[in-house]
Amino acid sequence: MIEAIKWHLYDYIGGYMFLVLALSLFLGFPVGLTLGGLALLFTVAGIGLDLMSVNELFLYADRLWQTAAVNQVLVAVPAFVFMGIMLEKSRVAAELLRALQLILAKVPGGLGLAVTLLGTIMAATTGIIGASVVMLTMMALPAMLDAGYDKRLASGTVASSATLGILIPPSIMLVMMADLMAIPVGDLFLAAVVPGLLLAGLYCVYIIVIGIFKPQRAPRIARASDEIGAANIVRLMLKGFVPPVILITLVLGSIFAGWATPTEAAGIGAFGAMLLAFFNKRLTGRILNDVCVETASISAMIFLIMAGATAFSYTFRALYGEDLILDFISWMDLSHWGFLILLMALIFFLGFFFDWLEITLIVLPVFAPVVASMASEFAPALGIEGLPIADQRAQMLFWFAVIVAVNLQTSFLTPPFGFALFFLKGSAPPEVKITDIYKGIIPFVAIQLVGLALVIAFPQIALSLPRLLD
Amino acid sequence: QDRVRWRMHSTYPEALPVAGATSYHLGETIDMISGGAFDIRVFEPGALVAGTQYYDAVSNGSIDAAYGSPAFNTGKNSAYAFFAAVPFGPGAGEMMAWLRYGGGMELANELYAEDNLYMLPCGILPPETAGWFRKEIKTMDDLKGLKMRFLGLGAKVMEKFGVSTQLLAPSEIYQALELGTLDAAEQSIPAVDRGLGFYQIAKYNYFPGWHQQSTVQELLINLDSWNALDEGKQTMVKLACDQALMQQFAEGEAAEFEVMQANVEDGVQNMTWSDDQLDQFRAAWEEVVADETGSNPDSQRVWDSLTKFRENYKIWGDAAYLK
Amino acid sequence: MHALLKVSDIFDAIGRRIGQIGAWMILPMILIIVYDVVTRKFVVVQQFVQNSALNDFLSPTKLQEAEWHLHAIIFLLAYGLAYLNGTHVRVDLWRETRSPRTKAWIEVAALLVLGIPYVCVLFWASYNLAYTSFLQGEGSAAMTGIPHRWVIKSFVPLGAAVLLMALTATLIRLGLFLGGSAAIREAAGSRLGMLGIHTEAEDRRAEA
Ligand code: NA
Ligand code: NA
Repeated sequence: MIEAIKWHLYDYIGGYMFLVLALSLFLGFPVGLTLGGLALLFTVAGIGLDLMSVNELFLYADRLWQTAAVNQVLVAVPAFVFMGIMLEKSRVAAELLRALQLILAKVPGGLGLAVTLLGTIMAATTGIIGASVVMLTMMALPAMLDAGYDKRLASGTVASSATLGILIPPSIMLVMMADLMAIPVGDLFLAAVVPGLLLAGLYCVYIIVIGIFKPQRAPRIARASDEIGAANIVRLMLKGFVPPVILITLVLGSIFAGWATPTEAAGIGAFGAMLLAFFNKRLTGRILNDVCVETASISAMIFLIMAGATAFSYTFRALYGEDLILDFISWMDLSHWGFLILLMALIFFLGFFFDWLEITLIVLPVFAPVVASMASEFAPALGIEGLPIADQRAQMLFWFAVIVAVNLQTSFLTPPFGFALFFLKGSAPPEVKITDIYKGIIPFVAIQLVGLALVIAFPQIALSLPRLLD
Repeated sequence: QDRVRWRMHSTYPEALPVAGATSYHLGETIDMISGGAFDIRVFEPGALVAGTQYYDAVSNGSIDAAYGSPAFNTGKNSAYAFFAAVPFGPGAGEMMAWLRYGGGMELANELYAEDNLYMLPCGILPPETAGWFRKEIKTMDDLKGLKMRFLGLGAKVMEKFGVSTQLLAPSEIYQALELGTLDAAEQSIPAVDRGLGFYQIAKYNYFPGWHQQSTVQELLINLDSWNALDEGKQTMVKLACDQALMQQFAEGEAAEFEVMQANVEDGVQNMTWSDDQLDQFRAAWEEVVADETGSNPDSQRVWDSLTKFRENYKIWGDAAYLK
Repeated sequence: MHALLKVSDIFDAIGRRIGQIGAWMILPMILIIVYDVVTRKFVVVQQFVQNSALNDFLSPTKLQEAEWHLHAIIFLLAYGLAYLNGTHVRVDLWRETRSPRTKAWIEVAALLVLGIPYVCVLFWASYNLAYTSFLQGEGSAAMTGIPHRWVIKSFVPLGAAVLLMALTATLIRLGLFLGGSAAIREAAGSRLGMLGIHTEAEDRRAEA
């Protein structure tokens, strides 16, 4: 009997990790500590099953160190978080959003559209989700709630547009995928641009539809007495637009003029935000201290989740959890379309629990070569029958990489375990509950799936831009 | 002996040209010749530990082995650099001669043993390119003020000519080069650089790569894991590494010309440092190595061994090979 | 009982103060980035620094390493602070409907089974890494970077230790809240933000 249980666990312990995680999350204990604690419990079980050794516990610290600390690009996280909080505390963000609202007063869902635009601009400056979600939440969420936006719509808009950064270059995820699949990273960057903008467009359509048919969820603004008349409007525009436009020019400009890397541009932006607060006469010692402390707390929140997640996913791999997944797919033995769709479903499912890095590491090394080998079968669908087989394989991999990337962007958004949702919760005003966020994201996850279906059905969405510029 | 199961880290993703597949093949080969009694599971970079940062994990036994290069361990002891590649160092043949018959391996494993490690040479790569530049380097003065990604002892040499060496995250190199945040970048052999897309942006590719005339790859093994193997399994690992080394060496030599031809088609100019320029790099290197060996007694010992071997080798090398 | 509450207050204060010190490191981090970017564009300045003794401190490689060193210090030292302030994210859709007493029991159980064991392991493992690094005299893998890697590595066990203090302080308070007299219970409860007990003092503060 005990032997039988042991053998059962030996094969399926990875599956139980999912199950226990899904249940434990709802205890309401901090997510990072829940992940770390479960990792430890399963490591102990793994040691009992002779699958792991005590020494592997060193990797809890080593992996935290390697992924969170020794990482040049993550410097953008505290920098962007600082910038977001500073803009919020110095009222620059509020004035910007007020001005945007006044301009877009006639457009249904105007403020939501403005926030999506802001998220898309930010996507061009960073590919680190923690940074962009927190910054957009800090800047836009309070203003949306003040304007009477439904909490769910507001948090869904913020979370989804802030995750566009992973699709629109620069993106560390695309670099990593290019690495794993041995495809040129520059071309993959190009291939991901149009799908990223397409998704932004789909969010906008959804927001406009809500604005028209359910205006109580995305109300238009009522003008205050000092917001009527041309002179007042001009004054508000100047006050609202000039400072952030300077800031955005500074950040984007320093990247595209070749002065700074995107990571460094985040630091420049943080410095610029401090200057703006100074000129707004809001840079007091008290505010500076508050901004620093809040920045550190939110960074700690992000990187404690990372610490727990890295321990959890290591344990999953060390218990050979991925074999369950890989064996299942080969056991299904499907034709090329069936295979691709199953793979997409699987990535989507993994996205409920893992972040992009773990998923790419499990899925791409094994299945990218399989997908490449199906290039000739997919060639008619991609319109590349005429090309030599090597080029067919390359095109196939680009397309595959992009649909995987869209799918992985979705993984940040899917409850219960969506990093973007956690980061949003950690930096949102307390009245925004995790339930609001979970419910609010559902329509946007549906939009993601529509976007994914479009890129699958019309591969040219991904393939035409690199071809055009080649 | 019962069935042995190892977890092994690979610094390179399997799809990386030349060096990428080596470790995965190694795992399969050993599994096969042991009839399944020695199961080595090879993991992609990041699955167990991050790409180049495997030293601690192997040393403390978190994982049994890792495939990489001694060049990645220089933070632990800068003397490890000499077992991978040194500026103006030997090519593949002479390097292997020193390691196996000149006392190199004994020195290496003496140092590694201090951290409970055992190293086997398990691959060797052909010369790297000297870097990709956005502008032609006509005189050494053109190097002054250039922002370049360059790592290791070679970086110190470049700094002597006014190059400002930058420590960019791999994910930002391409864009930085594209936008002019970087003026130049050095990474690897042509076949690997091709995938990084440098040829699209920096059109001057310089040769020869004086900083890395050959690069030894290692299989780094936890000493306890190694000692726990019976002699048969130890021999399997040794033989598999020898085979891997030969395979990688041949593939490395075979994989470059097509890529260089493709680069030329894409408008890249293959440039050659003049003898005078190389002499200047060499002079700067001699200063750098004097600093390095002066500050690390281990480096001094290894450098002395290598230098002595190379002096002895010279009469043969100069006489035997066509220039 | 009061002594225990006092201990928890001391742990709390230490955790917050260390977190605050770390938090201020964001300012040097930003300034280093600005300095690095600006001087890089002015070749005259950059060459001057590179050819002077200043290069030992201000070389781009050292500055760029200093950026992530400071980033690591910021988040590691704030682990405890963020727990005390309730910044660490909780999926509390089921929990928030429970009574404060049930919440307290859940938190105690989760701390004992999940949180504290994990952080203890993290402390032990990271202490080992830092100590090994010290023994090895580890430097920067870039060879031209910041030496003495053990210094920055020590912030991992330090951050874990501060977090452990914050968890312990909370465990003490939860114990007092669950088992103490009415006065103690109120004093402990008011210090436990995660229970969602609104005290009058808090309401007054919120209004102000
Ligand atoms: Na991006
Ligand atoms: Na998810």
